[in-house]
Amino acid sequence: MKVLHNGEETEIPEGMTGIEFLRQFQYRRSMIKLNGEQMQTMTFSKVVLKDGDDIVVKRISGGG
Amino acid sequence: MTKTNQPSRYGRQEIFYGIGTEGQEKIRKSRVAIVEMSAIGTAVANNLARAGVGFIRLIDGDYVDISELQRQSLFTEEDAREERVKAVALKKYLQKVNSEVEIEERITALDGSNADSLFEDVDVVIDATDSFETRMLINEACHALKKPWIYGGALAASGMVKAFIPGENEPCFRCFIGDEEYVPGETPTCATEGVLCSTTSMIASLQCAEALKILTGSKSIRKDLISFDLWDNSFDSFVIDKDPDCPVCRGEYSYYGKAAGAHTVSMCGKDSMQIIPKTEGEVDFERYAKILEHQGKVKYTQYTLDFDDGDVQIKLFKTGRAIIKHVTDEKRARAVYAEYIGL
Repeated sequence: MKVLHNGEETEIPEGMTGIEFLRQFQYRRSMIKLNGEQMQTMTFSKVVLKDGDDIVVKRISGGG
Repeated sequence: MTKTNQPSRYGRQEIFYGIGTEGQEKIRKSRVAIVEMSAIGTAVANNLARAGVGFIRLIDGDYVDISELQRQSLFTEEDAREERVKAVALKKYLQKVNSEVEIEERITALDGSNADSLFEDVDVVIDATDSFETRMLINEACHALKKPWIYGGALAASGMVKAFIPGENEPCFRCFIGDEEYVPGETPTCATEGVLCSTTSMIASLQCAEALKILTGSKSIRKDLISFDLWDNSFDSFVIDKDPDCPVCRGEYSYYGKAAGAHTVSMCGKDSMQIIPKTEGEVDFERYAKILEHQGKVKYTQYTLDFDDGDVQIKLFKTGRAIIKHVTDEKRARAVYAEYIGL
């Protein structure tokens, strides 16, 4: 299935959960929005992603 | 125009509805500390000095390197060639920009034992560090001292900015970042992913706008976290909730007030290690130069002493802190320090 990942169409496996998504793209310390709604990492982790979902994940920036 | 028909230095700020002459006077009387003269820190210092902030404290223990000129906009090739101490070089530049502003250089690294003396007499603290540990310390110190501070972080073309305002119902940086342990090597950094000067300039601009709002008592201070990416053209905001279990909000600190002890710090992007002795003192450079000149080339200024024997290169600061160049191994750095400095 296809989702929007930070604005880019991205192919992910059917039934992928939020935690699997975060692991696949190696996100740690991130801010997350699913279909425009901000979510805590714990909440997002349990979500089963659907075709067409709009996922925004922003890594917490640390450089100066 | 003023009565004498001369354009006012801050005229464009004073006619801006958000500041006015009253706000400009508040800015003139205000005091700001900037932690680290990085790409963000130099841009912030430039903006705030030009805006007429009355007192600016520049906190940094590093020297200028050629690899930093791409983004640290106020330093020159000469500064890098001479390896000038950043806080000193920047002070010199800013004094030419605005002689009405008092600039204080503090050639030191922020730690748990000196945060009070660096923050207690300022109105706002600006984060321009590249270290999450230093940010945790800024957060704890500002919570304890009830000072507002403004987080700014960059990575590649993306950045984040958030003002943390002291208050019972306000979240702190620890609420935002959670209790996830920082594992070196697992979090991308500017050294691994790069960073654009445009990114750090943007962060600095956003931080300065929030600082001016705080200093003028504006009610427009942004509550949420701004997140942007200049390459994928996104601009977003996130709400930061207060964590009911946050230890910092309960006054339990892990960094603030704690003496760091002797420790070694890797220098971001410099291929060098910094040794910070347990007790900082006042090194007699003249005496050390005489001791070391039999072993290699020595030159010193009032701020630093450089030693080079062809194999080992050391930059020693007045307090006893030293940067061991081209060494990335902690044990090796400590051994070099013990052998040549041995304070």
